[in-house]
Amino acid sequence: MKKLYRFLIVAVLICSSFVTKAQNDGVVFTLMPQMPYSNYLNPGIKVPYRGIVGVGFSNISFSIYNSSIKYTNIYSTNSKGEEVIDGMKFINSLDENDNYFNFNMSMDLLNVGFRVNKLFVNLDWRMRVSTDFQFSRDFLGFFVLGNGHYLGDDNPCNFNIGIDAMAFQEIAAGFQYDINDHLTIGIRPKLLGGIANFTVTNDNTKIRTDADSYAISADVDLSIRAASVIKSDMMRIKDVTHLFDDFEVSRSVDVKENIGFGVDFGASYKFNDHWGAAAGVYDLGYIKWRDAKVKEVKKNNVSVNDELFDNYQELKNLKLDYESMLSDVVDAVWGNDSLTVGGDYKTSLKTRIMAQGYYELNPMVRFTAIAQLYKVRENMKPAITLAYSGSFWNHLNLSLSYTLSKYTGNALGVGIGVHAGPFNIYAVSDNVLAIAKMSASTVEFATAYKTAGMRFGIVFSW
Amino acid sequence: MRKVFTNSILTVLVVLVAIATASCKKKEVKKIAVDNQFAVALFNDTISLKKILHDMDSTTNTWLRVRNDSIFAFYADSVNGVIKASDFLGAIPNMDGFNTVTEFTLGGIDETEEKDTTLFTERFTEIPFEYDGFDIEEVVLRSGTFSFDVEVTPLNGSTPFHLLKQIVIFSEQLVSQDGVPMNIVLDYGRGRKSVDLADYKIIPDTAKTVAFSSRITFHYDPTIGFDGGDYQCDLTGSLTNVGFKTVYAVVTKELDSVFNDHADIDFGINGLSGSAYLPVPKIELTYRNTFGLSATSDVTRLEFYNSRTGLITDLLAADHWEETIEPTNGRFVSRRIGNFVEEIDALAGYTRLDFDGNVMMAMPGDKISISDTSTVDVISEIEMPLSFRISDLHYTDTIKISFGDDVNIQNYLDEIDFTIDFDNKIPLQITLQGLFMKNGTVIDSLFDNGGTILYNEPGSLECIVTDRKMKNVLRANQMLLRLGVTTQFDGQSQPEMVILKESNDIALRMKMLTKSSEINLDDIL
Repeated sequence: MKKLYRFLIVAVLICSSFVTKAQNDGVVFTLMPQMPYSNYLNPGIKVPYRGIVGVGFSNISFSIYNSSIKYTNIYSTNSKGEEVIDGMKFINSLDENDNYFNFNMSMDLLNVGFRVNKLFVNLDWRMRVSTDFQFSRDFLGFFVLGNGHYLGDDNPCNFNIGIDAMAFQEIAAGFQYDINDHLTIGIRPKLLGGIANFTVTNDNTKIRTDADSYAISADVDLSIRAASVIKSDMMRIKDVTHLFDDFEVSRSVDVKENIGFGVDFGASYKFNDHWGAAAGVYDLGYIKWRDAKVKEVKKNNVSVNDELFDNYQELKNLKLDYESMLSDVVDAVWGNDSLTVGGDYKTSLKTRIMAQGYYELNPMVRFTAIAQLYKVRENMKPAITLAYSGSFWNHLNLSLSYTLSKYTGNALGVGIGVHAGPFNIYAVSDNVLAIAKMSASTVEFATAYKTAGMRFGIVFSW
Repeated sequence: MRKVFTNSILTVLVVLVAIATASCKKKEVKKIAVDNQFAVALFNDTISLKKILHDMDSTTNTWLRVRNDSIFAFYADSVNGVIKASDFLGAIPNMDGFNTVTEFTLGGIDETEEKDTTLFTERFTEIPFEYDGFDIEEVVLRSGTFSFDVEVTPLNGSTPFHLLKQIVIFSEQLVSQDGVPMNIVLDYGRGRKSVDLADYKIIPDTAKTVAFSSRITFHYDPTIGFDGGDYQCDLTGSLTNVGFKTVYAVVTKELDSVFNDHADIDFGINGLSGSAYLPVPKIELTYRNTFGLSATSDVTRLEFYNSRTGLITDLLAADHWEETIEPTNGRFVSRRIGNFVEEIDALAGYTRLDFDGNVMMAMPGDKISISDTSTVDVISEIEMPLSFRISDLHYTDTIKISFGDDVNIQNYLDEIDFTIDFDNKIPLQITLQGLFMKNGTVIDSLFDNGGTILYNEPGSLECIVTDRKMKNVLRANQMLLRLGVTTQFDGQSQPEMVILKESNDIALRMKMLTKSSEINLDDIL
């Protein structure tokens, strides 16, 4: 059992090391007519069952998002008509500062719901991982184009990156009440338990290459914060490999350490048998992380390399001491690698605001339009989704969606569900075209579309 | 209608998936267009001349000295006892040839009373004591033993000889420290008699001999009587372990040595051409001469000779160079040895050093005194400023090079620009060039426009390694290295005599810019 706990914690930490920022799991699966989790994002959307039970695999979703690295921006044709990877084109296609990779995962460990007259109550225990990596154009440009493209004091390389990785569990109690035959409202308070958080903020680091001497210097503005449920005296980053030495769950883990609160709320209104609308807010809340380990580095004009050969003797022998060279740079930029105990800090959930309206011709044909605002860093990014959904023979549910977003890119989503008495199985992709690229090259598969997501589950309803 | 619509929707979905899948043909990408430039600072330092010299030879503290910022190469050594009197005064052969045999006949004595009779023999033996070129006046002995014995043997059946009582040997030429002549008394029949001659003086007579005289005392005892008969007297003696302490003498003929000689020389300098005028070193000689005589050397010719060109360079500033080492009474005396020309061309290809002259130690009539502790101790120091006047000095060498077949940087680098920025405060103008050769044929050069490091004038050297040059470098198997140095700076008609100083330095900044435009993945994966 101890080994299992250890494995799970390591797995969660590994997952949390993937990078993310946007909370971009799709909405389309909630549109399928017989979906027991229709209130997943908006607790005000009516659940069409008297009760539901989902255990373990009832709702598992993965999504990845890549804001900027796009397949069509990587390749070009050279003067000989050959297909080549075009570094300059690729770098120029990136946003100056806001380029993201993210990975989200959520899994409902337990989801139980039941209806009492007009009130539908459900309890949900969910594990969530949200990882985010943000980088500037120059961050990749430095490596791809070389520092020779950033010569001169007035042409620095903005070497900015950001990492925000978080794993947490969510215990929610949802309440949905039918005010009347038209209006349903809902609210879902959530108790959040942070498992691990790792945040790197590096917004203003500049690397300069002197045009005369080619000496490289840097203005470093780096902040690291980390916290977890694991109680540890680890104060040096390199000691992370010893994190689980003498590890015992009962002694080393405190699940009450990082507590947060959140809430989802919304309402839906059914005008008649054909038209309806809904609006809601998802993931409004925060987690307070305690006993953080922090590191702040703010230095100007740090010498990264002013000479490859330290002295005349090294030059004469053409002998380089790479280890000390690297060590010198790390020391100069980073200083000692010890973390310090910082205060508590908060991280907010990636809040989403949604408004949607639909027209249903019959159960087989429903068209829905959804407007969303995603919170990305401190900004709200818009997206519009047009979706078709329908139920056939009272057993088969289909959905097809198209999402337009400057931020996430346009995506074609497809979903399918089967409802057979109490048994419901479904699978949804937010971008089916990405799945279609599975036969392509790895680079193409990974970069053809900005976003890809998959959600599936088996849930019982009655 | 409902069925048709359902089928239509399903068909659209299938077609969309099919189109998306079919459009995803795998691309065969072989190249990366990069257009990247990496700028690397390789070296940036100001290197002092002293550090350069130390890096070239870590033993500089043993031969390099700085005085008033000027750098000198020096060599110092001391030798105690370059000449030691003990080497040639200490070993005088032993003299065992002191053997006098006398036969005599005595008639019988018929006396009734006891009676002593003394027989005096002057200079019964003389030992020669002379050295060629010297008239020895006096020698004090450090050691020596004089011993003698007397035995009288009856001959022809004669009765034993009981008359001999005492023998006294003495010499006016062997005098004790107190001035008393040596006087040795031997009682007959008591065995051999020896005398320690330490601190005795030998004062040879005018005949350059040491003479010994004797007094022999006979004693007659009537109770014993004496019948007479034939006898033989053996007087034997030896002078052994003689060591001189001090010799006082008068020189009787010139002590000199004439030399006319030459020595083949090889500076071991290969691959150098041009001229490099170096100052002749200053020689500081400190000596102590406790001999009682001086030595004078007179060098009349000291020349470097080039047997190929016939060039002769006279090292003497005057017709001759004379140096005298006088007795110093135990003190050290310093003297700068001069009379040399100020500078010579070190690269004139000399093969021989010719030298004529003589050494004169003493003249007839000079009185000398030599002790066995007399020495000549020498501390010599040779110092030469790092100073020279160089014109068109070139060092040429051919180096085998091979970068091997595994070097394929040309596959991902189009060009490497090496730049050396310099600010040279060392008073030398240096030209560098490397010629890459394949089987003896020059195929490329390191610097397209030559490389010159000017003195006191900041500048840059650029080596642009293009794709063509890179290929040539990689296929070359030899590099002809040419290094040129001159002290004839811009605007000067003649090379300048420069002195290297500790404060001289060169600021060097080396940097590299690599350029790539296209990388072939097959070449690097």
